[in-house]
Amino acid sequence: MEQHTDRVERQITLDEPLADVWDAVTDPERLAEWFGATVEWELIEGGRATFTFPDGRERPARIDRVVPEREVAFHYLPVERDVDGSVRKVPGSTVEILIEPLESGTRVRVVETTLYTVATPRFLPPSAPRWHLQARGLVRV
Amino acid sequence: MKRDDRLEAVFDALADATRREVMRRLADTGAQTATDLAGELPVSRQAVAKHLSALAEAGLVTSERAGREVRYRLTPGPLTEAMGWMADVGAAWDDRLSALRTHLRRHRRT
Repeated sequence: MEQHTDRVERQITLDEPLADVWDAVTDPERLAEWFGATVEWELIEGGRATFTFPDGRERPARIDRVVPEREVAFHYLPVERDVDGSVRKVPGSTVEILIEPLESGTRVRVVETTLYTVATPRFLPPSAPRWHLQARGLVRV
Repeated sequence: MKRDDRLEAVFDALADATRREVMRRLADTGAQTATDLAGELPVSRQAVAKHLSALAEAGLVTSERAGREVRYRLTPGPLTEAMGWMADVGAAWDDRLSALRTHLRRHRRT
């Protein structure tokens, strides 16, 4: 069996119908109640997202895929901004939240994979904020 | 090397099937030379040497000179950090999914 040391997978079966679960996953106000962070995101492919954790840390992300009532996928950029505005390099990762209707209820499956093993430059659009490029050492200051 | 850089090197090292096989063989047999390893694997000695150097950079192997030979030995310590990443991320999702269940139940009642 292939061993994964860079991938975490979890799933849960819920009693609620698909539409309600989809709403809880995609509505920032509802997501804030379970995710452990608040999010601002533009939920379209390539859309920007920012997760803000209770201690004030911010993680920028980009939306990779949105399939209505089925999937939200995004990747965290490999940086984190502290409350004091300082930016540091952290592991980037992709997150896929997959939602599936069951006969009764809904299954949510989550796969998070570290981006260490993926060539990350393709995740850097030309419009990426400058602090982000600097943090990755791709821009000489 | 900084912690994140080292962790990056570990995940990079583990991403390759040949490197994982090299580690498996070193784990089974103890110290071996690049030539020994190349004899057991379907790759050139040069390729093995390159993989060993990537593993050394990640801190996953160490080299020791014995006469004319350089032997490589597995030093699996850095794997613990990679496991730590998995444990942290896994625990975060356990918490989140359980909070999602609670949220949905509460939301249904209101």
